[in-house]
Amino acid sequence: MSNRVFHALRAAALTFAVALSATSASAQNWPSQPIKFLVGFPAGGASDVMARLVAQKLGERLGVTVVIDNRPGAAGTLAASLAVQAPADGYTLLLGSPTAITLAPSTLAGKITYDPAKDLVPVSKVAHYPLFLVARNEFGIKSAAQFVAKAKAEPGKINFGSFGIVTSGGLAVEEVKIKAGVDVLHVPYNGSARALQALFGGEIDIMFDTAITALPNMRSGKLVGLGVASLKRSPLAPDMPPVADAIPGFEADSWNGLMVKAGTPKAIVDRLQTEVAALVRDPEVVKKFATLGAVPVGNNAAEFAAFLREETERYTKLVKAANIKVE
Amino acid sequence: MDIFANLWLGLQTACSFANLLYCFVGVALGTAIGVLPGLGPVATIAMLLPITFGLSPDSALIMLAGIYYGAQYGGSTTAILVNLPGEASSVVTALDGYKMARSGEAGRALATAAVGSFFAGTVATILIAVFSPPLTAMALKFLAPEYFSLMVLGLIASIILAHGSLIRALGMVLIGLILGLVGTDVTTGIMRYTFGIPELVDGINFVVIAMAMFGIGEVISNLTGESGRVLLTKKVTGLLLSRDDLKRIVGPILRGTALGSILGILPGGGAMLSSFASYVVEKKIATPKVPFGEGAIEGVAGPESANNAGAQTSFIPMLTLGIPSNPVMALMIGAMIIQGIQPGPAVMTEQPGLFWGLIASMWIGNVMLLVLNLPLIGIWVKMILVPYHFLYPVILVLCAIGVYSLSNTTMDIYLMALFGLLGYVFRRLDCEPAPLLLGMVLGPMMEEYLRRALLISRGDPTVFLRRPISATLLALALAGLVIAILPTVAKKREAAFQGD
Amino acid sequence: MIKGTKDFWAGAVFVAFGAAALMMAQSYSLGIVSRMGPGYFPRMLSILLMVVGGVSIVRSFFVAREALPAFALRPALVVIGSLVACGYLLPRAGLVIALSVLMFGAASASEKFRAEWKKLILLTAATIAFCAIVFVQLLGISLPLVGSWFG
Repeated sequence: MSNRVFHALRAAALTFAVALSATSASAQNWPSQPIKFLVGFPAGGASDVMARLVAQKLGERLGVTVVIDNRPGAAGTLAASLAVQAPADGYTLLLGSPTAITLAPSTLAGKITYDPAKDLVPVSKVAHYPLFLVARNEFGIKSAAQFVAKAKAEPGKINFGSFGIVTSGGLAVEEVKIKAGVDVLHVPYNGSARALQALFGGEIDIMFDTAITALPNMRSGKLVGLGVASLKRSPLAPDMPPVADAIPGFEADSWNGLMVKAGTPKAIVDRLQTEVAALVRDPEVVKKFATLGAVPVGNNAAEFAAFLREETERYTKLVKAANIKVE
Repeated sequence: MDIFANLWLGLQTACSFANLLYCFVGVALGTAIGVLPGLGPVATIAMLLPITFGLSPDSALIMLAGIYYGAQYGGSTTAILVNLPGEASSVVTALDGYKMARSGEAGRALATAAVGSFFAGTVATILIAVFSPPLTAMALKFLAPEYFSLMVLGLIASIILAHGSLIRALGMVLIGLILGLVGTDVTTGIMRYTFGIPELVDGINFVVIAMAMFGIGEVISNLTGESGRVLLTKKVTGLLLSRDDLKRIVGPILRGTALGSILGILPGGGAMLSSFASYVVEKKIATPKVPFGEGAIEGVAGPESANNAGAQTSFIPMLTLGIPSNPVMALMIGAMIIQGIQPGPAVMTEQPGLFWGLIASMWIGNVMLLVLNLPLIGIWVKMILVPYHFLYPVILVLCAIGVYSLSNTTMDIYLMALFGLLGYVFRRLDCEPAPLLLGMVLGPMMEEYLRRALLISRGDPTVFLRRPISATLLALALAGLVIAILPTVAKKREAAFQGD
Repeated sequence: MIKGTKDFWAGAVFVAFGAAALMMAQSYSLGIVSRMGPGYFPRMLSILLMVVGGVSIVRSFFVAREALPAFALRPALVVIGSLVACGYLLPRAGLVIALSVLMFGAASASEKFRAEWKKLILLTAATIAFCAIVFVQLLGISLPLVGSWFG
């Protein structure tokens, strides 16, 4: 505990010192003061734990403290709007997530005060979280192909759960409906825990879940794993075939990435990208990510930007096709 | 049976020097933060999570669990002493506990809470150890229709809960239900009553309204001069329980423990209902010396036992399935992940030392809490002797920082101010805040479960009657409603009320 | 003539609250039974609340009157105002100033304030030190001791 107190005191002392000197921090001597890392989720969740790990490693590499600032609310959009309001000096980082960045333009149009593509600059995609298609044991199917066949034979009968209507998991259900051409009943829940409980109790038959809860229940035989929702097999569960084998082109996953405000000097963005790319190869990070159900990425800014563009476009089409309205 | 072998293993784990130490640190810390208004276990555990990185997995979980049930104890202390319930579960404790404190019986109220919680904690720990798997299976039988019916029962109960005018209680419940709807609708993702304020998208935090309605409203009332300059209206009497007290609280404690243990297992918000449920039951069964709502010791004993039992049994779905039943359990799962343990059904078999150690530590922690809290009662009681004009500014500061810490936003301070004013207005109109708070807890869940039940039954409303558990709950609700609106009973209620 | 009873005014508050909630719920769709829309519950509750409020008002004309107690407007406004000021100042002026304003602002509502304000300075200093150490340093709540106005 004393260690933490020490860090807190040091951070406070640093903040104070910087406040006194009031020099304008330029790109040359960046970083010269503690960096704030905005996380749009409450402390303790998978994204927060990941962010803390990244903050610790990033701080070691940059030689300054990276302080996590949890600003939960409005599916991460609150933290994103705070990042946009901060100065573009590289001292405020944002942990980007699908709901606030790639989903918000289509699902929350007019409700958010920022434009993710214009007001924020992607640095690097830190991790991606594959989603797994799981079914309850009594449902009696063993593969994604069997699910498609059953859904076609009994239109409207299957209860397909999700961990939220406007989340990567909820939109995955809509994408299944369109891409596989099946009619299932989408039953949204408030978070993965509630949906899993309903799956165990038989209220829903099938759902997409993140590795963190899906894998242990698959391995202990409480749920049947049908496949992974990415195009390729995932290192987290190499035995799971892609759902795309049964539903061509089907892909759904979640991710976290580092972003800063638009206008941040390029030298700072490049430095951050280099450090992120290096820290996700750290064996300790790789190991901790695996228990979080996350796969480290650490790509470059251009790749991340391209990914965000594609995802935003894909979701815009999907939201239109599925006729999801958030008024 | 290997249960004894398992418990023995658990005791060995829990009684290692390090684990005893962390258990103590946990419960002491929990008590401390529970006593500070507004600062609850969720915020504290979240903030202390990084500290546990360096501990062994069993020590980390034992300490975090200690913070959780320690905070339940501490929360009751503030509810009793200064009418500030920081948790849904201590709202009910404040009703009679605070009245007891004002008439100089804070010691008895606190001792009752401690004894009741200890007994309930012990029973619930045994339940977890022996019946976890079958209880989990039972909890999973609760699906949308059952939850909806349970919420209806809770709603009816909330009207019985009120001791003033029936019609005003009904109005307060409805306002609470509407306040509960603020935020994003789970079924469609549409935002309701958010006024374009991003902080409202996830709804209004229950703690903010509880602190505003009870705490801020109380402060303003006390400043109006009617209530005098000191909180006490009578002189401080016996700190310990008399033989008569013990006789009075045995029944409520037993019933509260049973109710809390059962409701705590339900992951969909059952634990929150347990203290309300217990109060309603006692109101119908017990025959107190002082009427309920005026400082009845039974009204402290039952709900306090229920909330502690519920807090303990809410570990069951987390331990057996990896499903968190409340935000604290979600954080416990986060802590396990940090420690490299995959939460889920395999924990029991793959980490028996951790699993049974945690269970054994809960009982040890409860003993520690009792030992820690009984002597503290003397100190707490002195606190209300502090002149009120010094006490209330500090209370306000702690409330402000406390609600800010919930999600690091000043919006919660503004909301607390607004609803504090509203709370004062309601208080002047003799509209009680408790039904409003219960409505706020029930509202969003009731709607969500109703809509989901109808979605899954493809629009067939008979689903609520065809499922036996759901039908039973609805029948109970109907019976409660009949009792509540029978004119003779209603008249008696009013007579009792006007008599004071 | 308005009769100043608790029943009447409680009813009036309920009706007003219900009407406001009902008005805002107009834009949420009603849906059908199997797919109940987001507007169903709010409308039902608002209408019920207005009915309950109406009953309370009607009742106020028949049942024995409970006279309305006086509202102590000044202490209420002072306490609420201090809280709002504290919320506004916390991020801008920092914890030290915001909490001092809250302590002194709220304390001024008490009749004992004039006689005891010197002791209050000590108490304020102690409270702020406690909050800074426990909440900011030990628990790590992100609150600036010195706010953005001075940095």
